[in-house]
Parts: sequence; structure tokens; C-alpha cells
Amino acid sequence: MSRKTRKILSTAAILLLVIGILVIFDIGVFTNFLTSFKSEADISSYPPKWLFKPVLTHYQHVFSKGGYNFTQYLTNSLIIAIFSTILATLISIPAAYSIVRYHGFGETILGATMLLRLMPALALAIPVFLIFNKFKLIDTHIAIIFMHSLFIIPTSLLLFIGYIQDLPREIEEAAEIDGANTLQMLTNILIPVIKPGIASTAILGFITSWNEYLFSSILSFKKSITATVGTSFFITSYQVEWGPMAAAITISSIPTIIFIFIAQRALIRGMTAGSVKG
Amino acid sequence: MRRQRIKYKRIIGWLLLAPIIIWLVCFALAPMLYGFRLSFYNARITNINNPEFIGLNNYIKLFQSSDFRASLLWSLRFALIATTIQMVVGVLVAQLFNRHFPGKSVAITLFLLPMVISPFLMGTMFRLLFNEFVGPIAYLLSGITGTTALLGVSFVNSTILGADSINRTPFVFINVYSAMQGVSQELIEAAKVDGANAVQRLWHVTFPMISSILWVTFLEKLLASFLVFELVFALSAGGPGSFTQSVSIFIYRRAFQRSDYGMANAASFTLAILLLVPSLYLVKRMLKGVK
Repeated sequence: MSRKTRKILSTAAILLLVIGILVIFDIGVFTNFLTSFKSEADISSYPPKWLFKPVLTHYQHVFSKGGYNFTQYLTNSLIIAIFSTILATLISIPAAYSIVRYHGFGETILGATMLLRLMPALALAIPVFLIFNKFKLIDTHIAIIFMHSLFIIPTSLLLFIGYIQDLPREIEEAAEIDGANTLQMLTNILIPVIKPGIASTAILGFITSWNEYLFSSILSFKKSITATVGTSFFITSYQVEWGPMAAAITISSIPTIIFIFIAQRALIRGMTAGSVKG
Repeated sequence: MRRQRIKYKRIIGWLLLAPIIIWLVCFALAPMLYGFRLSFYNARITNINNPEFIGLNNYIKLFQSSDFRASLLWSLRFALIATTIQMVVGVLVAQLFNRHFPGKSVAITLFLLPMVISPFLMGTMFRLLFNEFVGPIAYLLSGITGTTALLGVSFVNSTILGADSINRTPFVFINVYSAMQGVSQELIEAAKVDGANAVQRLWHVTFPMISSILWVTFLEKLLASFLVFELVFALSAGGPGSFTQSVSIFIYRRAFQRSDYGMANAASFTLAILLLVPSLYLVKRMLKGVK
């Protein structure tokens, strides 16, 4: 066998293997996507149909079902994700700057945020539920925004620390000589330089909030229900509406799927933060 | 003058940290302390403003409860098995991807796809796909399993492991893959010239270079799997009965279905204390990486 044919064969073998792995890992998402376009009869047909006439009824149903306000849930998710990301960014940037440039107590804070990520979420969820209940904050956007921003902070902080460490100190020293104070330094020099980093960190924060279930579900019962929580409402004690549920899941996962296609590199940096260099 | 400047710098250092400290104290530390306090009380939704102090009773009842022990055991087993599967598969896929092939970047995106979907949505999704009567995946697998009742007692544990692995293996993959990218290609080429085969190269060259990332990823994965909640909650809700009741689901049920907040808090703090030492160790390792 010539070298060339051997190379082609080995590439073909690798591709086959890769495709096989991707089928296993993505068949769930793909099948769910298919199900959302199946008619009621096709969903319950046995054996399951892989070829069928696609219908949009479930999508219409999701948006028009009485008592089920999916548009509202999506808007809630959007508002909560955007504001908690903004809050987390505003809190993390100065903290990261302090940790990199001022040291001292900053490292303890960094350690604390990392510890927070590893602790049982329910140790926090139960008291938070009771406290917010006492302050009549249950079922408000702000309650969920507060908690989500807390969960976005650890990763954001780690990423911002990385970005600031990568900056040459000279820029800041030059600004200091020009008489800029710390606040000016942050807003006029640092933030413009790390802008791309802020964007990718924000994407990650958005996904964290959008996907969160536990806190979103215990802190809401009507007005502030998010899309992720809302998908489960198609399961009631006497029936499960598979079609609309599949449609709702598909819609709710679209934003995160779009993000991984347009911002893969940023996501990878975020997801490996903290463990890669460890 | 100099001393004054140092003092001034210190104040700024603190000011910059003020927002994050406020956040951590208000939304993490204070609630947790309140929760810890409640674990010594008989606290129900009816008497939550005036709970009755019962000392260590919640903890005593907890350790006597076979339900709690069973859930601890389930979580421990799940964590060990799931982490092992996901580490092995993650490393193998990373090794497969650590070379050039056409369409690689798309392949990576598609492989990471399950990870960006919320574990709760993933669980709900699989609840449909594994359904005994209408689940397409259950039907496909029935050739191997002989039944479509994949959420029944005999298969539900494997089903959860499978769904969790699809959701979480990409996390291992991306950590290991990024680390492998950092291993110098020259070193691997040199080993190749010396006659080392693929397995030997992975074992003797790549692994020692990425061992610390493997270790940190393993630990992080192990702790997270032990506390698994959303995926199991959506997929089987701890059922049938309490057959797949992870320790987090045990706590959730105590708190939000039986409204026994004292007992639920006692359980979550027992858990927090159990996990504190490995967590602190992991934080220390991670901090070393940041510096």
C-alpha cells in the first residue's frame, strides 16, 4: 500500500469514529428537535417514525395555550440573564483589578467565590428561599437576578483576572503619571482594552443564568417564571404533552446553541478557566 | 508622604473589593449562616418566624434515617461511576481530536453542544426520549436492552448515567483537550522516533504533562456529580419511589415537598462539612493556577 492510500484510509477511519461519537452525543438533541415537528399521531406511533410530515402545531400551541404564557417566560429569562450578567460584570471587574494589582485580602475573596461554586446549592437555596419569602421578594425578577449574578461571579472573576494579568503594566503606569485616578484608569483605559474579553465573559454569564433551574424555580411561581422552568409545566399529574414540551425545549435551548456556534473560542476559555492552569 | 500613599492604595484596594464582598455576605454567607442556625430548630412553613429550638435532634434523626443513608450511598456510587466513565471517554475523545482532520472545528462545536444545554432541559428531553411508550431512543435501544422501560427499576440508573455522561463528558473533554494542545508536539514526535506506539505516547509522554489538569478535573467532576440535582430531578425525579434519590433530591424533597426546613438544612450542612476538605484542597490547587 502506498503512503498516500494509507493516509487516506487512516483519515477515513478517524472521520468515521468522530461521526459515530457525534451521533451518540447529539442524537438526543436532534431527536427532540424532530419530535417537536411531529404531529400528535406521529409522536405516539410505534415504532417511532423517522420520516414524517412536519407540522408547526406544537409551536403554535406553546405560544397560545391558555394559562401558559411562554412569551412571558422567554422575556423573563432574557431580562434576568441580561441584568444578572451586567451586575456580575460590574462587580467582577473592579474585584479582579484589585486582586491582580493590590493583592492583600483579594485572594481570600477569590478563594471564597471558588468555594461557593463547589458547595451544595441546596445549602444556599433553602435559606435564600425563606429569607426572600420573608422580604416578600418571591416571584420578582430582582430576587432571581441577585442569585444568578452570584453564580456568574466566580467564572467572570477568574476570566477577568486572566485578562488583566495579560495586560502590560506600562499602560497603567503611563496613565498614573498623567494623573489618572483609579476610577479613570478602570473606565478609560482598562475596560476599553479588555472589551473583547468582557463580551465573551458576558456570553458565558448569559448562558449560566439562562440555564439555571433550581433557584429560578423556587424563587418564582407566576410572574417571574423563566423559560427553563416553564418547559416542565407540560408534565402534569394526569398527562404529559410531549409535542409542546419538545417544542418548548427546542426554543429554550436555541440561544445557548447559537452562542456555541458563534463564540466557541470564548466559551472554551470560560469553561476551562480555573481548571486548565491548575 | 510615602506612607500616606501606601495607606491610600490600601483603601482603594478595599473599595474595589467592596461590591463583591457585599454580594458574598448578603447572598451567600448570611443565608448560609441562617440555614445553619435553622438546622437546630424545628422549622416548618407555619412557624418559620418563630421556630422551636430542638438542639441536635435534626441531626440525630437524620443519621438514623435509612432514607438519608440510601441517598448518600446512591450519590456516592453515582459520583464514582459517572466520573470514571466521563474521564475515560473524555480523555479518549480528546486524544482522538488531538490531530488534524477535515471538519475538526465543526466537530468540536457539535461535541460541546450537549454541554451548553441546561441539565434540567437535558433531563426533561431524555424523559421524553426514554419514555416507555413514545420514546424514540428507548425504541432504538430496546434491541440491546430487550425492553423500552428504560426508566423502570432495572434500567433507570444506567439511563441516568448515560444522560449525565452525554451532558457532562464534554466538560472533561474540553479541559483535557485544551491541556493536550499545550503539550509540545516535538516531544511527541521525539517519542515516535524512539519507537513508542500511540498508547505508550499517551501514557508516558502526554499524561505526565497534563496530570495536574486531569487530577483537578477529576476532583471537580467528582464533587459536582456527588451533588447532581437538576438532571436527575427532571429525568426521574428521584423515582421510581426513591430508587434514584440523590442526596440533593433528598434535601429538596424534605424542604420543598414536606416543608421540613430544619431537617433539610441539617442534611445540607452535613453535606457541606463532608465536602469542605476536598473542596478547600481543590480551591487551593486552582488558586495556584491563577497566580
